[in-house]
Amino acid sequence: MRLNRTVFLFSRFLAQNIKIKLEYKADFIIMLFSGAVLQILGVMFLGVLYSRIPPIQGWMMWEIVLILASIFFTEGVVSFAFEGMWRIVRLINLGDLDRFLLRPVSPILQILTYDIGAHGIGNMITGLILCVIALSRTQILWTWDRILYLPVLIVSAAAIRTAISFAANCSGFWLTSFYNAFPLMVHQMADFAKYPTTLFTEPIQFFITVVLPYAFIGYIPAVYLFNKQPWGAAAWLVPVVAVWCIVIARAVFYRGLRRYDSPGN
Amino acid sequence: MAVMKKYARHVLCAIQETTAYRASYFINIVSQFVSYIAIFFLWRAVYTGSSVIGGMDWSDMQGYLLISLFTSALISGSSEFRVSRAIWTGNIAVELVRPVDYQTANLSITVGNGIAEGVLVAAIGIVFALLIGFAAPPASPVTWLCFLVAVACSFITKFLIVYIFGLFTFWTTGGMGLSWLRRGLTDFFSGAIIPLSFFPGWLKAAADVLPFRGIVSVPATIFIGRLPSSQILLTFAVEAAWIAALWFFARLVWYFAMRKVTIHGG
Repeated sequence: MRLNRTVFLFSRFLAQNIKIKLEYKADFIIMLFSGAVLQILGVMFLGVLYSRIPPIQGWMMWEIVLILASIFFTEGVVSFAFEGMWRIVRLINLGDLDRFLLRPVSPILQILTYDIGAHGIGNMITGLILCVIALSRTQILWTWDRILYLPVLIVSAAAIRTAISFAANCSGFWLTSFYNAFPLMVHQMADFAKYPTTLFTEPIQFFITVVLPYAFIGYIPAVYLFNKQPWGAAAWLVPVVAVWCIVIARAVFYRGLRRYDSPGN
Repeated sequence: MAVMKKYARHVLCAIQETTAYRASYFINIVSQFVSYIAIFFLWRAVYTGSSVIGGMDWSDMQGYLLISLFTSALISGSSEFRVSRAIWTGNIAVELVRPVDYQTANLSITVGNGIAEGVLVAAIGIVFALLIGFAAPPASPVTWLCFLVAVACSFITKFLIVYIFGLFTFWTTGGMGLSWLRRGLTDFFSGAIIPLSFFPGWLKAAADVLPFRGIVSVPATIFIGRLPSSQILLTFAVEAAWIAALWFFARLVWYFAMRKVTIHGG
C-alpha cells in the first residue's frame, strides 16, 4: 500500500516537473544538448587517446566506451528522475525544507522529486546510442545470466549513484555556506569508475570499491560481461551494494534533519 | 585613480569572502584535485606501454598535467555561477543600480577569488608535483616570465568565456546547462585533459584558432618547454587579440541583454 502510494506520488511529481520544464523551452533544449555534447567529447577524448596508443592494460577502446556509455546512461536516469537532491543545500539555506516537513509525505521523496534534469534525457539517449555502437564492436558471450544481469545492473547502479549523491548533498546540514562544493566533489569521484579500477593504486582501489562503491557501477560489471577476470561473478553483488548505500544515505539524511533548524524570518 | 580604487575594493572584498567560508574554500580546491587524480593514473597506464606519445614523454606529461590542474583551478565554481545566479535570483537589479561597470567589477571579484584560491592551488600543485615525483621545472627565468604572462592570459580568457556564458542566462532560466556546455568545450579544446598535439590534424587546426587553447595548452606547453620560442610572441599576440574580441563581444551580449532584461519578482 505504502509502496503503491510512493510510486503514484512519484509519477505525479515527475509529470508536474516535466510540465514546468517544458514551459522554459530554451533551457530544456540547452540542457538536453549540453548533456549530449559532454558525452560526445568524452568519447572523442578516448578516440584521440586510442588513436595513439596500444590497448590500456588489455582494455580495448570500445570496451571502455561501453563502461563510459553505461555510466552516462545511469547518470541520465538519475538526473532525470532525482535531480531534486541537488537542491538540498538551497532548500536548507532558504528554509524551504520546512514546507516538506509539514506534508504527510516522506521528505526524501519530496526532495528527490523537487526538480528534474532535462540533460538526463540527452544523457540517456546518447548513452544508449553509444552502448549499442560499443556492443556491436565488442565481443560479449550472451549467456542467459548475463542477459538477466542487465536490468539488475541498471536499477542497482542508478540506486547507488542516487544514494551516494543524496548523502553527499546532505552535507548541507553541516556545511552552511550557500556554495557547497562537497557534493560535486563526491559526484566527480565517479570519474574513477570510468576507467578500469586496476589503473589506480591500492588505496584508491579500496576507496572506490568499499567507501564510495563506484567500481560497482562501471568496472566490476564490465569485468563480468567481458569475462576479463575469474572473479567476475562478484558483479552480482551490485544489488546488495545498492541496498547498503540506500540504508546509509537514509541514516545520514535523518541525522542531518535532527540538526536542522529553519533559518526563520 | 578613484575608479581604480573602486575595483581594488572589489578585489579585497572577494578575497575576504572567499576565505570566510573556510570549509567550502578547502573542499572547492580539493575537488579540483580529485578529478586530476583519475586522469593522472590513466596517463600513467598509457605511458607504461610507450615512452613518447604525441611528441611528449612521461616527464613532459606530468608537467603538463600539473599546469593543467593549476590553471583549471584558478577560476573555480564560485565564479562560475556568480553571474547566472544574480540573473536567476533577480539580484542583477541591484548590480545595475551600482555606479560600477558590471563587467569590470566581475573581473575584479574573480581576480580576488583567484588570488585567495591561487595561493592554495599553488600549494596543492607543489604537493601534487612532489607526490608524482615531478622534478623538471623550467630552468630559465625567461621561460618563467613567459609562463607568468601565459597564466595571466589564461585567467582573463577563461574569465571572459565564463562571464559570457553566464550572461546567456538572460535568455534561459538556469545556468547549469550552459555551465556544463562551457566546461565541456573548455576542457576539450583547451587541452586540459588531452594535449592538443595528440589531436588529429583537422581537430588540431580547429583548436589552434579557438581562444580555448590559451587557457591550458599555451601555459602548459611553455612550462614544459614544448612551445618553440619563435612562436611564443605570435601566440601571445593571438591571445591578446582574442581577449580584446571576447571583451567587446561580452559588451555586445550585455547590450542586447539589457534590452530584454526581465527582473524576477515585483
